Amino acid sequence: MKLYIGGKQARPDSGYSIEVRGADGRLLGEAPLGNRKDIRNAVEAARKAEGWAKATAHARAQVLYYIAENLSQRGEEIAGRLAAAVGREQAQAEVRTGIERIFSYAAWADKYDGAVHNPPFRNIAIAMNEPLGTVGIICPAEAPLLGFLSVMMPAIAAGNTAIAVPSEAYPLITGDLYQVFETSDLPDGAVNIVTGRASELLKILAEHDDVDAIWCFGDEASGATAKALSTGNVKQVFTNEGRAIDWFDAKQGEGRWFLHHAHQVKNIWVPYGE
Amino acid sequence: MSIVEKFVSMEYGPAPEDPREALTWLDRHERRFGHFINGAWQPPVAGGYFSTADPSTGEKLAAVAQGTAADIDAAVRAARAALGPWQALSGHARARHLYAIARLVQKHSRRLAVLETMDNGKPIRESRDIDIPLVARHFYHHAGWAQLLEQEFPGFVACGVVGQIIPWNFPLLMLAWKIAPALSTGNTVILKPAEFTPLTALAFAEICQEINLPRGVVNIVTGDGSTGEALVKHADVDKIAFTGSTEVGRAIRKATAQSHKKLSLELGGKSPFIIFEDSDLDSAVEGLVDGIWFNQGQVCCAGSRLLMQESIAEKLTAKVRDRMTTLRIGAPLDKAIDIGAIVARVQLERIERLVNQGVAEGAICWQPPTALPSRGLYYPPTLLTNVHPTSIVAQQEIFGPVLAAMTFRTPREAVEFANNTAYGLAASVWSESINVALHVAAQLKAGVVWVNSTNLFDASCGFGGYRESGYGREGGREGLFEYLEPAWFKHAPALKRAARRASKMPTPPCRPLTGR
Repeated sequence: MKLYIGGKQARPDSGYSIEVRGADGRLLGEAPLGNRKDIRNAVEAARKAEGWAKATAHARAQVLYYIAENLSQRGEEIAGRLAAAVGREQAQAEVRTGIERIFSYAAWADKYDGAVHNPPFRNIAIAMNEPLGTVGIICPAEAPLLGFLSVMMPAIAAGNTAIAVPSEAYPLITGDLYQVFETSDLPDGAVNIVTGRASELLKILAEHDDVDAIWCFGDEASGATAKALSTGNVKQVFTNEGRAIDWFDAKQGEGRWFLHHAHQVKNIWVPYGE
Repeated sequence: MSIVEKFVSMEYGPAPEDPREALTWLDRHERRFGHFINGAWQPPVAGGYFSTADPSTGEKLAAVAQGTAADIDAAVRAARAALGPWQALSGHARARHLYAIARLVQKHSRRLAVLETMDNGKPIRESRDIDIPLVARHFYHHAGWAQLLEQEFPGFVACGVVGQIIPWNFPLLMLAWKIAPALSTGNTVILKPAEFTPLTALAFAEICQEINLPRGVVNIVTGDGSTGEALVKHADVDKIAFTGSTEVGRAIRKATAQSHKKLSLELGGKSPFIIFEDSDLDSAVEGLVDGIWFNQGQVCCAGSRLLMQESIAEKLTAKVRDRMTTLRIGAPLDKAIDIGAIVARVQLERIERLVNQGVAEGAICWQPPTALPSRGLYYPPTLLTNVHPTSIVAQQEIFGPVLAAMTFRTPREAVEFANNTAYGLAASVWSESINVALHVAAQLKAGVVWVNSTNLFDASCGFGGYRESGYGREGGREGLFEYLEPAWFKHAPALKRAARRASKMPTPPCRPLTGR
């Protein structure tokens, strides 16, 4: 497995990797040990890809549907590999629910509309839901594939670009997605993936002044770190506050709550009326 | 003087608003206020009293209590005790309370406006015609949200006990922006007004008593920054909402990092005011007057950076200078006054310091020959030209009546200059071409963009910033999310499984990558 930066697979700057073992201790593979330089490259790539925000909502929806379709085609194979880490049953459920989740955000991509307000002046105010920009995401450890999709899809459906640190427990599964992204017309750099020690990469992302927001799904301590280190450029911080989210439950794992955090409202006041 | 002569000179006689009702109210309280905790006035536990003064005269208006951790604790306990019963009320019952507040704000609007002007120094025209009507509007609008909450936000519940810290530039309006959405969603609050301007918040406390708002739902604790700090650090507060400087916003983020307090921040700004060559220049100049000289420029979204298209720069600055000479500066209670007093000496000194530094960096300073009042804290309207985009007066928030003017050539350059700031609160764009205006508006990194207008606010429109201007919105549907959480999330168990697995997991070894 390699890193995924700017649409290309990249060797980590460190030249080192981490062993990834299953619950039974069996060696499952190796993931690159990403460091500050890899994050820096990934942030640069994500910034360059901000044209993604200007793509039409329809186009973004289309790309998400392609991702779902291509993941679906390789579903059996990916579930098979994921099974080594989380067991057969959960692996199949992660792939199945994961595809549904992508569909859900493909659906939302052209429906999370703004609003038009009628203030008591000779104006209307057009409330636009705009993306945040570049988001650094620490993915949940507990559902390596579904967790990644549950946080990445709302971020990119909104038009953000992202740098994700996948589940530390089993980062290898995101490696299987590179090909899926490449065949789905996702612009290079819209999604970047840096594996490694999540706690270290979190600090680098939180302190990086060219990252607009931090999403951190992990234990209480990592949420606190994300908040404390995010003050340089006043990043928006979205965490699970150390609480459990049932990613398999659509009520908890998807929807407006995530979309709300993926957008910021810009109100444009325009003269209107008599 | 004949009528004809008056038309020529356009001189106004004094037209002071009657302050008696506000003064009677102050006297009725013997010009001394405790904290408002659990529905009653409470003397400060340990902090004693400090005085608040009229910045236009320097005269002391009243003594108010200095809140300490003990007062904050009492207020938090009252808010916590009130939370259950307040949430047990129906949305309709809460709506009635908010509606009653709105009605009383209107009933007492003259007293509130005068009090605001005396405590803050802003022209009575602004407090009477803008601040107080918007306060009432905010409570009406949010009475509606209380009524509709269950229908419109199914599955969401209130954060709980909310600590709110507000600035001195729009004292009662900022209170309304904080308290109205919090109450409509079923939270209870502890509000700390700004040290310089606590009086209208205390008048609001009396309104809460007058409408029989359940005890403890609204608590007002006065004091300085240390009082705010005690509120931010209190362990039993579920959310902090802050409006103020970016520097303090950062400190609050750090101080709450170890907690689960939800946080919304409305911070500073250095908002661009962009005028294209095809604008209606006279309208744009009037807009500019409102944009930077409204409330003496002590406005977080003030249009403090004038970006003019090069072709009209000379003509426009001449018009601006002309208009500046007609601005009336003086006693804020006078109804014909455009520019009132600066809130406090420390603020006046900050403005002077920044302008001097800007001039040292090459800016050319122009001020109208209007005489300032002989006493009180005043600063003349100021135009800085020849400002380099990296100059301190182009980058830092001055929070005073100071406009820094720069030029641009193309729309693209306008956007570049406009976004060349760490902030992103507001922007104003002037052009008679709808294409140019909306093309630029789309590219501005700002929470509010006004096309051919400026400084418009409404309860239905979320207000808040991009970037270092903070996060979260106040007003509208988006503003309510700051006071709500998904019910399942509020009660979700701690993430145990993964944490246990992580701690059992040995640190994986690192080794050089092989192959490929």
